[in-house]
Amino acid sequence: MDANATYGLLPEVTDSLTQFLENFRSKPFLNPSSIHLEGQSPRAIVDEARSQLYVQCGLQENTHRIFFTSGATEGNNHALAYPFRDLDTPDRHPRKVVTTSVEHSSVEEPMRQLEQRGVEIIRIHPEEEDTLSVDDVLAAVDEDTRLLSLIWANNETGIIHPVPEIFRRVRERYPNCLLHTDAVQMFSKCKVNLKSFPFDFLTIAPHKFGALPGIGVSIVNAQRELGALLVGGAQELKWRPGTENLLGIVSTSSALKVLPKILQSYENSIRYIRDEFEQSITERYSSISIVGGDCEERLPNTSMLYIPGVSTEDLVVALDLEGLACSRGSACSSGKQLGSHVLGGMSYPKSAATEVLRFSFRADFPKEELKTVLERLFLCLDRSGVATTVEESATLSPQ
Amino acid sequence: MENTVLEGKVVVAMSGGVDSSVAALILAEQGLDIVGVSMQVWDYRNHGGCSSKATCCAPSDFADARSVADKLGIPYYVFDFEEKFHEKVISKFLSTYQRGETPNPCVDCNNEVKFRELRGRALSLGCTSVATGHYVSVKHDSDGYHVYRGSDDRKDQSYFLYGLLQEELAQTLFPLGELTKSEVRQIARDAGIKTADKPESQDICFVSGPLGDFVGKRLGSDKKPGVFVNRSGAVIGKHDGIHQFTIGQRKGLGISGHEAPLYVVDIDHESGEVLIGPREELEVPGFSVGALNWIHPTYAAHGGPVNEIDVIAQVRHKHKGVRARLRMDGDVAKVTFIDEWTSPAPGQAGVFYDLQNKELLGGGRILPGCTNRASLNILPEEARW
Repeated sequence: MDANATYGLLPEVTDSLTQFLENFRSKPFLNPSSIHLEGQSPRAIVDEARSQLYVQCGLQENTHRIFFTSGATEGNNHALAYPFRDLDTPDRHPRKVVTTSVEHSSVEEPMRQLEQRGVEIIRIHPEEEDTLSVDDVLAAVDEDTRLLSLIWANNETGIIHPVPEIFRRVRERYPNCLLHTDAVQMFSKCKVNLKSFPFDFLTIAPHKFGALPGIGVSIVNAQRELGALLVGGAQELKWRPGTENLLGIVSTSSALKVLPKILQSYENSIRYIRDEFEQSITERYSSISIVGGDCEERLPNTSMLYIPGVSTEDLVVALDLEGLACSRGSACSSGKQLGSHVLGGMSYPKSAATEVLRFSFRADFPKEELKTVLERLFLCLDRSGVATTVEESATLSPQ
Repeated sequence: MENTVLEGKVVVAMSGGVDSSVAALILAEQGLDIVGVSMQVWDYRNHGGCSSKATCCAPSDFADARSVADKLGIPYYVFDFEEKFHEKVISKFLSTYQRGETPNPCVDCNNEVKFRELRGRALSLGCTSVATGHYVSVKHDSDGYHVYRGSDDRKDQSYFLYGLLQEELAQTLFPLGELTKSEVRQIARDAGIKTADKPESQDICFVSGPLGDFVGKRLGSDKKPGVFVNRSGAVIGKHDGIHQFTIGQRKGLGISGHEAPLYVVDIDHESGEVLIGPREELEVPGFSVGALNWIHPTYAAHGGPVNEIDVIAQVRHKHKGVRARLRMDGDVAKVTFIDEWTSPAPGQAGVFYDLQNKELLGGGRILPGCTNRASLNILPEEARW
């Protein structure tokens, strides 16, 4: 249950990839930007995939540009680097960024680098275990703010922030401020209406909804003067040069066709499975709480448990050995687990960063499996010494 | 190795080196259900970045361990042991130098980190035993568990394992005990394990660069500079920190102009005086050992030998061991050399073997007071050991 990390290839995607490779077996030419006749077929595939995205997102070419990248990490880096590409030249460009303290590392790391180069970064904490406060954000943005970057739904807690509303209000007051949102989790778990609010950069990661990793989608406001991060070629209308990742694009295209069904399953079925999962756990273990559990706006598949006093490093491994995948923050290049940083803004003790466990269900998680999952989870939790509610009440001696 | 069939899973400590890789391979081939685990005791991001060249825990070591685990088809995880390692090994390492003694971090790491902490984690994973690639053998009889030097004299690591308890030995496997290093490398080559010819990690695993710098930097203003003196009390030189010296050290003293080679005979951590003398002043008739652990089942049961016994005493890792007489005095073992004297360094491990120099009986920490101190003007026969 680690869908938020990566969904895994959908069978429809595997089929389409196999089909694609078969079709190209006789003429294995995969450069969509070639001027040659052979380039036509791959070219058509890219164009079709892009049209499909426009349709599914309800957007028009004259207002938005959609282009393919190597992934959301690149997309996020682009959104942050582009506005500050001229940092070293003396100019009167505003140098302030407003963001949150709960961004993904592909936003947080570039932010840190900008900070080191003299950009002022204001990080807003979400309200205690809840969404970002619209007022807090509005209070922080002013004429000097060059960029507002907000994660739409947090990948660890699942908490969804009111990005559309915030962007609308900021755009009204400060039209020069660029608006970026990391929509990676939101787009892959919930139905969104991208027409309903203004934005300048929006990042999507297809492997979160069943496509291949190694491909990303960036949506950029066509009516602003925004430009490319990478240079050196004419692909993607120069938005993102480099020979296109055809397999990634094919997989994105077929995954998009299945996405509406997946979103429906999350909303109508998984949400309730997740709720039952949480209830069963909190009933049995009074010390375990759900981070953001009372928040009304949460991704339907995500559940972050806080298990005070238990370093979940061992638990993740123990659960893995029992066949249950979950996570707790990112991994280091050695493979060692680091803790979670999103709790920093909330009033949890510092130790909490290493005492959380995130479960994120796939859309096809069968309800019947919940019982087995809970059994194995309880086995590991008991072994870790988490006191059950029954034990706790048993230690209360009769007076 | 005695083939005990174990129930339950075994955690194999994997460093990415050829020894632990082959240990895992042997157990996997025996059909045991194993899980490979690396203990990250040191984080390079805090000490020079991923390209830092220390001898272990570099990201490439974990990558090696991971690829071996993948080849064997076993699960593999990396655990964060930094805090524990700092608490039990590095802090103690530094404070030992401050006391003018010579630390043995490998002993502390084995006792506290590898065998206790790792075992604790193994249990929480539902694993009942731990295995390592140490060159040491364990045999079991009706009295209990016996530990023997590894078959390869040059690789034997029993010296560092004197701290193991009987209950721990019951749940630990050492697949390499009866193999030599070259046999181990050959097994790795035959199995196509890529670390077959990987060079060994030398010296202290967490120190890259000169040891004196490592310790000096961390002690900061707690360093103890002072003077070199000879037996008569004459000052023959200066130094900027006693942490750079160990008993028996000959090199790096910066003292010249003497005919015979000179050694560090004693270190006084209060005054900062380092006593220098010729070889004859270095060797002492005996020493005391505290913080003992007895492995031999009979001694383990009684807190040590009841009567005086003759043993082979080893006072350094590369020391072949000398005959000595041992008697218990309360919690302390008083050891007198029989034929040959040597120069034990306080803080090091004093480890005892049977007279065939094969079976590890027990060991402990060499206590201060076994060196010849100039200020007390004591002749060797009266050394207060």
